[in-house]
Order: sequence, then C-alpha cells, then structure tokens
Amino acid sequence: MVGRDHVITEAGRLLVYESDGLSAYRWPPRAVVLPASAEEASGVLRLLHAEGIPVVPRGAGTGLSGGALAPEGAVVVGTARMNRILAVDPPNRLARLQPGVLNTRLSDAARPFGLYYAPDPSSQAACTIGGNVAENSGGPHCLKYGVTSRYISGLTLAMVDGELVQIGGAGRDPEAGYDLVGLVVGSEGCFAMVVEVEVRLLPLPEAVRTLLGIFESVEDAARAVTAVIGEGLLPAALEIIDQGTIRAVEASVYAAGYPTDAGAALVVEFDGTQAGLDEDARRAEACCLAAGAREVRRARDATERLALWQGRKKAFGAMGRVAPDLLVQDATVPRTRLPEVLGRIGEISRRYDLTVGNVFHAGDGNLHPNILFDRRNREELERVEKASKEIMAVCVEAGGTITGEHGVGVDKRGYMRLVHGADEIEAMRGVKAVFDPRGLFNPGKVLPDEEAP
Amino acid sequence: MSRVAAALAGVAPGEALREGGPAVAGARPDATVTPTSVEQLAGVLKVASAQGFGVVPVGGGTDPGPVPPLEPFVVLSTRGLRGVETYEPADLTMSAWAGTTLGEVGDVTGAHAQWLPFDPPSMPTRTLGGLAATGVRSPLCASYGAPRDHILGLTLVTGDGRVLRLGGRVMKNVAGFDLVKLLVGSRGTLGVVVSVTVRLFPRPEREVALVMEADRAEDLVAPARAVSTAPVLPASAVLAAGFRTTAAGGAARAASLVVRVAGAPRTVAADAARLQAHVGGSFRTVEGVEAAALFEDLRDHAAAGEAVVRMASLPASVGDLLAAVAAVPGPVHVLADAMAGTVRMAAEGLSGEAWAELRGVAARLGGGCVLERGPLELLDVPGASPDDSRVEALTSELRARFDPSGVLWRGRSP
Repeated sequence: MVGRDHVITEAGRLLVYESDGLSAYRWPPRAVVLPASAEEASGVLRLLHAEGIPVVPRGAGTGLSGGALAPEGAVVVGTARMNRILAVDPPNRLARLQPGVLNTRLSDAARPFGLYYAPDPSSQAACTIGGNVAENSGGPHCLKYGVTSRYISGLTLAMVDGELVQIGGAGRDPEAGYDLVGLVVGSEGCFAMVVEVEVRLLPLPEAVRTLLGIFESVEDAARAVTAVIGEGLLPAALEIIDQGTIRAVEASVYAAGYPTDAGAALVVEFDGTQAGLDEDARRAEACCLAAGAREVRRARDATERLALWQGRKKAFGAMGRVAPDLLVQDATVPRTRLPEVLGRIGEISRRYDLTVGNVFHAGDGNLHPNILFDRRNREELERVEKASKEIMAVCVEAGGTITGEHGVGVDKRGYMRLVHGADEIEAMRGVKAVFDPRGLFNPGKVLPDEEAP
Repeated sequence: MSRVAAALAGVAPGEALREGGPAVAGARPDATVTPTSVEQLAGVLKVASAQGFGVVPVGGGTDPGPVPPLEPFVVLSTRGLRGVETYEPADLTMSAWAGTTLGEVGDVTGAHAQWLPFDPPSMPTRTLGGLAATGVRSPLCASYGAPRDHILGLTLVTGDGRVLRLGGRVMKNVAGFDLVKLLVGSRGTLGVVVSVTVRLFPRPEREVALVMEADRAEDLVAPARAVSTAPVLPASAVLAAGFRTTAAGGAARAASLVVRVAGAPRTVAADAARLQAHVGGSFRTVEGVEAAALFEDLRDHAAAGEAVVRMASLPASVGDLLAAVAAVPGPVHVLADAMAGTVRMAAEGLSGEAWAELRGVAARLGGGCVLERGPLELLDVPGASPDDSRVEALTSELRARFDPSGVLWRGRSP
C-alpha cells in the first residue's frame, strides 16, 4: 500500500517514535506506517480498522503533552511523507497543503506573494501544520492574531474506517451546518486523521517595532502588561521571561545580552502600518517605565530585533541544557491574575525544592512554568508531579485552565476533572464516540478514565 | 389550557408562561415560556423531552429562518435571562446572560472604550445567545475574526435538560474537545445557550469610510478586488447595490464600495493612503458621525425584504455572485462582503426560476446559497447540493447526543 520501506517494525528504527516532547515517557509503538497521500492514508486506516488496531496520528512529534505517544499495541500513522504544499492561492489568500508540511515552510512559500501564515508556535521550524491542527497551537503572536483554529478554513479527514471526508472549505457558506472544522481543530488526533488542510493567509505587516523592557521583578513586568492593554494598545506579542530563565539563557550558547541581575524581561512587539508604530512603541515604553522598568531597549533593525527575541525564543533550549529533563508546563489565567498566580507558583516551587523558570505569553495570560528535573531520580519526579498538580489547581482557582496551547494528551488527563464536571466530560466522550465509536483513534488521550460507579 | 401549557405549568410559574405567542415562520406555538432562571429553563426542556413536544429557542427573534417548526411546540425565550455577569475591562472579557442584547453589551463596553466588533443586520436587537447560536458572519469579521473566534465559553442547556459549562473565561484554552466551536452556529439544534463569555477589543480611536460610487455594481468589482488583495487589511470592505450614500454627502448612484479603516489616527491616515494607492481609483473620505451613520445604514441594508438570500463563494468570485443577483428581476438590495466573498440580497418577491438560477450559480462556484427569509414554496425548488452524506450522518448523530428525544427545532436542519 505504501511501500515496504515506509512500514517500520524494527526495534531500532521504532526508537525515534517512542516519545515526543513530553520526555518523561517512552511508549514504543507496534509499528509505524508512513503514507504519502490522502488515498494511501485512507487505505492504511481502512486496513487497521478492519483488524481493530488502534491508531496514533503523528506529525513531527514536538508536542509537549504526549499526544503522539503510542499506547500498547497501537500503530503510528506518521505524516512525514505527506509534506507537499498543494497550492498557494494569492487572490483568495488561501493555501492547500498536506499535513506534514512544516509550519515555517508554509510561510516561506507564501512570502513571495506578500503573504504569511500567522500562528507561530515556538517550535515552528520543526512542527507540522497537521500537528498544529491537532493541538490548536498558539504562539507568541496569537495575542493579536488568534490561534490556529482561526486560520483553518477547511480539512480533509480520513475517518476511522478510512473514508475521506471534506469538511468546511473557504468558498462554502460558513454559517451552514455545524462547525465541524472548529470541532476537529484541537481534537488531538482523537476524532479522525487530518490528511489535507486549507489555511487562510494574511498580508505581511509593513513594519515591526520590538521593545525589551528590563524589570526588577516579574510582578512589575506583569503590571506593565496590564498597563499596555489598558492603554487600548494591541501589540502583536507581549512575552515575559523570568530571572531563572534569563540566567539559563545567558549561561548558554544563546546568550542574548539580557542583564542577569534583572528580575524579568518583557518583549513587546507591534506590527502593521509603519506610520502608527513609533507612536505605539512610545506609549508602550511609557507604560513599562511607569511600571518600574529599569530600562527599555528598542530594536533599530532586524538584527537587533532577533537579539531581543533571542532570550524568549531560545528559552526552552537553554533551560533544557541546565538539567537532564525539562517539563514545559502550560496553563492560562485571566491576565489580571498573573502577578498573584506567579507568586504562588514561586511558593510551590520553593516548597518542593524545584527549579521553575517562567517564560510566557503574558498578553494572553498563558503561562509556561518550566520545571527542571532528572527523570532517573524517582523521588524528584514525584515532587515534579505533585508541584505540577498544585500549579494547575492554582491556575484553575484563579479562573484559568489547565492548558492554553499544548493540549491534554497523556500529561493532563488527570487534571481534566479540575476544570470540567462529570456531565461535560461525558458530553466530550459522546462527541468522540460519534467520530470513533470503537475508540480506535489515539486511545487513552485527552479524556480521563471513566469514574468507578 | 392546552396540553402543552398544562404540562409546563409545573416548571414555569405564572408570569414566565403564557399560552400561544407570536408565530415562528408561520407556525403557531402552543405556549411561550420566558424562564428567569437556568433551572426553570432546564425544567422546560426536561418536560418537553418527557412529553414529546417541540421546543424552539428564540433570542432577539431577528433571524428566525424560513422553515417553520413542526407542531406542537413551545417558544423558549431567553429574554428572561439578561444582564452582565462579570466584566473585567483589563482582561478584555465579559460574561453575560444569553438574553442580553448586543446593544446593551455595546453600552456597557463603550464606557471603557471597548467593543464586540461584529456588525450583522439588526445588531443592537440581537442577543448574545443569538450571536452564539447563529455564529452570524458580518463584514468586520474580515479583520477581527468571527463569533467562533471570540466566544471563549458558554453555558448550554441540552435538549434533555443537562446544564453544561463549556470553554472558559481565558483567551487560550485547549483543555479537552472544543465543544464551544460545535455549539457556535448550531442554531438551537443542540441546546439552548443561557450564558456567554466573549473576548472584547479596544474600540479604535478613529474610523473613516473610503467611498467610491458607480452606476452599476459591476463597475466596482475590480476596485473591490483590489482592496481585498491589498497589502493592508481594512476593518471591512463592502459593495452595496440599490444603496444610496446621499446621507453621507454622496451622489445618488446605484452602487457603492465602502472601505472601513480603523485604528490610531496616524495609522488610519497611512492605511487609507496605502489603500488608495493600491486601488488606483479615487475614494471620497467620510468621517465622524457621518461615517458612523453610513456603517449603520450599510449594516441593515439588504436584510429586510420578502425574500433574503445569502450566497457564499471565494473572494475572487464575488463578481460572479454580484452578476447573478443583478440578473434577478425587480429591484433588489445587495450587500457584498468583498473580503469574505459573500453576498446578501433582499428582494420583494423572488420567483422559483430566479431562485433556482442563484442556486445553480452558487453550485457551479462550489459555494453556498441559503434562503434566510422567504416564501416556503421556494424551498421546494430543487437545487444542486453537494454529496455530504457522511457529514449529514455526523450531524444527526451529534444532534442525538445533545438532544436525545429530538425536541429542539423539529423540522429544521442546522
């Protein structure tokens, strides 16, 4: 069906597929199949369905919640060979592509037409559009532009029995029928396999202004964020990096020249029409200074802009260097509750004697507390799990949620009942059953186990 | 008292229940219930599910659709559930009861220089619940995104009376399957939305309208296409036919292209200049209260008439849709969204032939054609519809999960 080379069963070659970005887990799949087209994927699914074999769709495996891990006996259907951009349609600002296309490759292909694809998860050079669809990925710029779901106009699905079904489509009436595209985006590969994607593109902004505010504390930086929003400004990005993370970055090959004695750094970026940007930047700078910024740096050109972003973009890489393992956590709180929640996360990390670095999308209230650990140290791993659970509870208590952009996967299943009641979880289970009555698609993900009666 | 009204008397006290009530698309309800609590509303749905009569949820009643519900049924109004629950301006979020009108939301948010940037027909009298139930698109969606993108959470009462709290109050949320997206636009077929949390936006400091007029709409298609492929994204761009911008100082011409530009004063001036340069033609600039009045007139243009038709295609095909509606005999009001490639047309009288022709054009373009309002006979006119049998199966199974007794909007598909 796909060619012998594209069915992997040897233990050595399967190693690559036994984990994803959630590094504490190792689940080797039974086999990996790599179809090259929607038709091949359809054929593979039809066969697995007939045999009753569970399926895990997989993109680049950069997901941070374990969504691409293969439970016992499951076959991974990877999109590595489904990596063609089928059409870029500038008159309608659309592109059609296979799910295995890398996020940055899509924007590269659109750029000659003055267009780009807006969602930019930090892993964009490595992650695939299919994976972004599965997770409803965000990124630093979704404060202004919104998350993946806003940019997916149509999908072709391979259903659990292999049937190919088209849903949505930019030319179709968006108000007719249920928003199945919206339902499937973010379903973490539990409903169907996405085999073709239609995306909306945006015109490239004319200009960009990037500022870096240096603060004595994370709380001050968070107050600056509230002030910027209160000014009625809508930056493209508002990102905070805390002291622990700044030090990790500065100690690494990614050193960006951030002062290591600073309590936090705030990246503020505006994009759009050149004429208005300097005024926006001036007002944001005033907000930072009023909130107690020690200094505000302004990028004068593209090179300086990259330097200001360096500390943010390379934070995970730099943190990863400090300890054998890094748990990249993810939760969202109402923006106004950020200072209080950050304080409580600090208290939890001290109590469990763990190093936690915070790097986050402050404009959206989307936190990423990153916990350093060594998974060979069982006792430490237990503390990491306990601290994670407490951090989640704090975020939910503040009116937030357990994941803003990384998904539930395996990692957060146990927290689902913190945010959803039994009826809501049953409703989700019911919707999954409509797409996948036998539970063959990505089993053991997202939904918590059924409660004992 | 009718059997239905008698059955409801136990769950909805005197003032919440009245016999009869205004017709829905020509069908007479046995009773109209206006619950004042979520418990009452859930009680109505439980009784309906047990007794087997239909329920038609109604908000502002602005968008009833042409298909009458099967009888017997009761109208379930959300207008007894009104008011803001929480509004945190610094978070740019608001939660309010479903019966709150968008006009009321605008009054509250306007005081903090914020707004919910949607401009569908009859915007002020629509309810927040109706916004969620219809997911209605409007020209400002071109730059701000659609209701689906900004409804962060909602409380739903399912057809069998379960109360589900879906989504949340934060900007980014991927905790579990996105049932909010399934609900937005489900038109009351999965449950009754009782409370909605939305994301708000800072109100732009300045807005201007760039206006170009012509005798025929087709003469404005090229500039409209130039706007929708310009390197700068306007707030919205619409092409109106049968619309006269005389109120805004314009000549009484038959067609107008109106581009809305919004933002900080300096940005607006620069964006307007860039659009002008890209389009090449010459726009007249309308500002201030005149611009506001123009946007309001355009919003409601092409939404009132014996027959209202909504057509969809790709932006590049908007000229084909305009040509199709121009061929409809008699005077018509037309509003095309140049950014989205959709057209709304209102006509006094629409023949079966003209309707079939419109549907044929939409089918050839791979687009959509829906009768929003009009004589029921038109619905019997055959038109090409694509084969979506698996989508239809998914739709009816999803519906059964949320409304197992099938009481909601009997006789209508979502």
